Amino acid sequence: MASEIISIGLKLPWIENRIILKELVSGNFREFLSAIKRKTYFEEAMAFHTPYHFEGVFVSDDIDQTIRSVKDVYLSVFPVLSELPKGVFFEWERGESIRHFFEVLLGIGTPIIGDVKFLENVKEGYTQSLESELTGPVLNRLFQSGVKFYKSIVDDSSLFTEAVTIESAIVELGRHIFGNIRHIRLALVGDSAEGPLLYRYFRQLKFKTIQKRMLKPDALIPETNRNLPNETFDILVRLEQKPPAAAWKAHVSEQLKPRRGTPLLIIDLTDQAPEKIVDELLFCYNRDDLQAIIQKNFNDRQKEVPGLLKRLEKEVEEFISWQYSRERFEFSGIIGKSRKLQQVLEMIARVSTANTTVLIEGESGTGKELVAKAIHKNSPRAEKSFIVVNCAAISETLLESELFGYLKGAFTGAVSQKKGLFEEADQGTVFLDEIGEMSPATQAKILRVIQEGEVRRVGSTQTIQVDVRVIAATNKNLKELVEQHKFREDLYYRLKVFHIVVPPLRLRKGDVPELADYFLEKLSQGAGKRIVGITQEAMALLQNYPWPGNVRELENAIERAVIMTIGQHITPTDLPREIQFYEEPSAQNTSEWATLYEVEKQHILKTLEYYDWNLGKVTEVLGISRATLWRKLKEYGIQGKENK
Amino acid sequence: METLILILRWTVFLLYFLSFLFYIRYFQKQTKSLARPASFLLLAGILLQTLVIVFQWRLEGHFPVLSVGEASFTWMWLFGVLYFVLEIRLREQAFGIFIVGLMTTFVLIANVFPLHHGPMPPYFQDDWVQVHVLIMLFSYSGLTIGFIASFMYLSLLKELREKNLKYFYSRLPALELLDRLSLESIYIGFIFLTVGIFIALSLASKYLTHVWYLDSKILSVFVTWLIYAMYLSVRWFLNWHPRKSAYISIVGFGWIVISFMIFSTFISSVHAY
Repeated sequence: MASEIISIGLKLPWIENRIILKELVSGNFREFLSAIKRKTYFEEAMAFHTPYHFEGVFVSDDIDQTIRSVKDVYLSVFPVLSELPKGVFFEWERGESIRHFFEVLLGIGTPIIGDVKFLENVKEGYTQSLESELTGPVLNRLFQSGVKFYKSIVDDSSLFTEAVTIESAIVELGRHIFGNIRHIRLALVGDSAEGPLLYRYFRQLKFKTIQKRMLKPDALIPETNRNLPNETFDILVRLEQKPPAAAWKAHVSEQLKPRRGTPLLIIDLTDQAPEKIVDELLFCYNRDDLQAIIQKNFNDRQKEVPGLLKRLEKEVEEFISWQYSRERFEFSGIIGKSRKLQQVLEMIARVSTANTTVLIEGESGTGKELVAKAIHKNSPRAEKSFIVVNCAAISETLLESELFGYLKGAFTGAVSQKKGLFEEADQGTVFLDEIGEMSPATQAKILRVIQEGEVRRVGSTQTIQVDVRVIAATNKNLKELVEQHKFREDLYYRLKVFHIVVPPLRLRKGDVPELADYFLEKLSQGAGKRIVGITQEAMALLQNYPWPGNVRELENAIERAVIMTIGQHITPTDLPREIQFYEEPSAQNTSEWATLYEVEKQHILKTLEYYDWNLGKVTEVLGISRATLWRKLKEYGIQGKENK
Repeated sequence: METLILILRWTVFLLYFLSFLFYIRYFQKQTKSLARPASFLLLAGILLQTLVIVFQWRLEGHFPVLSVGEASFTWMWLFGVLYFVLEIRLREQAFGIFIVGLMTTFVLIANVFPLHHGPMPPYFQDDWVQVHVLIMLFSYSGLTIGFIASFMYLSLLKELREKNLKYFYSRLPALELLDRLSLESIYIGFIFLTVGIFIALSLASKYLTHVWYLDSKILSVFVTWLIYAMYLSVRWFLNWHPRKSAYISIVGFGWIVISFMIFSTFISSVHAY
């Protein structure tokens, strides 16, 4: 069954309810995440909360199951919810859910629509879900396209940068009067409950000066530098109505005196009737005026919503068409639906967006380069260069000058200077194949590139900064090489930050037919022959063979068959001899042994008991997906611990 | 040849007009994806206009400044160049709607007016006369930008003062920037105006009869000079509020436009316009 996206969360009026909000904020979000991981049914999940949302997005092949188990988690982690009437949750499915996610990122339907807070909060939740290993390719992609959508909207229209809070309205007003805030001198006068908050907010912006002015009986004196004469300010934010009217007026006129046409902005947050001071250069705004600005900005944004929804619709369609596309499973030429391969694809999706080094291990012919290319293609560096270096194919000295470049005269034959591949690949990816073959001296230099982002051309004393992502691959056991002191330990651990093992073809034989069809189509086109398919007998032979040379061997076998065949189908006689006449080592008679069914059931039960029904742990140990585990539990009639 | 020039002049108009439409849309919508084509079309217009002017100059041996039509055309070219430099320097495209609107209108007027025909007045052989005209046109460009900035300043000031923040508030640049812009561009315009007048004085005795200083056009330029001298002195010496000086800038520009229209059509003068 195809998997769908579902969102489950709390409805907006409930989120805004003070008691619930308090509960949600005080409740541990991590705890919520781990409960999701342990107790719910899903393939991928992420959860997040903003001031207006508290929800999770899930990918699942059994929507009802997921909804039920997720709601249970909500109720168990936040008991207050169970006291509420039934309508506390909402559920969106498929396209609705995707649309809802994009709407959350833009804050559509909230009073601070377009605020960057939504993106920040969702990102926080996503990162935590990623770290808890809840997300997968679909949600990773959903998050990435959400961020891209948000940026494209907000970067394009200045309406979304305008203020929606009191403090940012002050800054905005200042900006509209004085221009760049780097030239603005601001002072907070007096103190109030919101004083520290305002001060902190203004501090993180790049005002020219910010001062807190405290109130003394008859005058305003700066908190620090008491002896300095009164400075001139552009914005005075008045928090207290303390100095008597006369003193305040005196201070304001003091401020106005030295000006040559520059205005003075007074923000009165005292919530009392302000003293009347009239001057050509004076702008006085109080809280209500700031609220009016916020309201106006909100209306401006609200007017943009219909246009946004139209753009959003397009984005949703694009996402859905990706979600159900074939390419998603083929992942840049990597073909197969077996669980083992899907795990690899998931890892590719996860590591692509990060910027870490990756070590790919696998027998020769398993397609390590394809994996590296897929990582590059799905990373933010996709548009930049991807350079492949086979360390085994080039001699040691040549490898160094290829990688790092050289200066004129660095060695015999260096008639001009040359850029190294690392420089060429700046901002891109370098794929070092067969890294086990590299000499320790070159390994040290590679480590330098990875750690410091520095290369030095052969014969040069100057270092050049480069920004490259290194992906390395090997078909040897690097750990053994490290033990034999043939491979640097520090480099090994540096590379191993993220490591992907590409399974050999014999461990994913289920993918053989699809791969064979794929190669047949590709190669017969290349050979100009019209070959319709592979006969059942030939396919059985292909699936029976252990493929020591992996996918590459399969490709070669098909290529040979395409050349040999005279009909429209590939028959057993077209295949290489070793495949045609391969015989499995004979199997024993096993009638008195337990059936696989029984063995599996016992094994699952034992594991469940051992890990005290921690499903997350069990799936990890058994190496199966959560969905599979649930199906098997149902199939074997194993009851959950709680239900016993 | 004449038809080719005519076609090119109308193409320039068309480019400005399209650019103007984009600037209007940008002013309303504030989306950056509209701002880029606006600037691009404007640049294309300016480049083509440069080509037309160089073309006419080569063809006829003098700058196209002989008739009202030619002069407006050249004036708008200088104006466009000046604005484009400002736009890049300030990274601010909010004025575009006013500036390019003005350019579109004037290029249209210039295209409707007939091209200069007949013999060239003898004094036009003197390069200094052409330099004088160009400098005067450049100075008017500066003064016009000063006027537009003053106008925007007053509109924004009105909204801020009445705390009725609406249309201009979210679209115009900062108040202080508008004030500085009008002061600086009027300053530049004034310097060029002064230099242009000095060149004219040295030329006058050479080509004109003894009572040249009573010529209506010459008198009107002196009035212009006085108005802007006043603008700058109230700003520098009397420390007036920018609001009051902005009115002077608007009066000054009004005077320039009126004198242009009246003296070029109704009153005979040694100047064609």
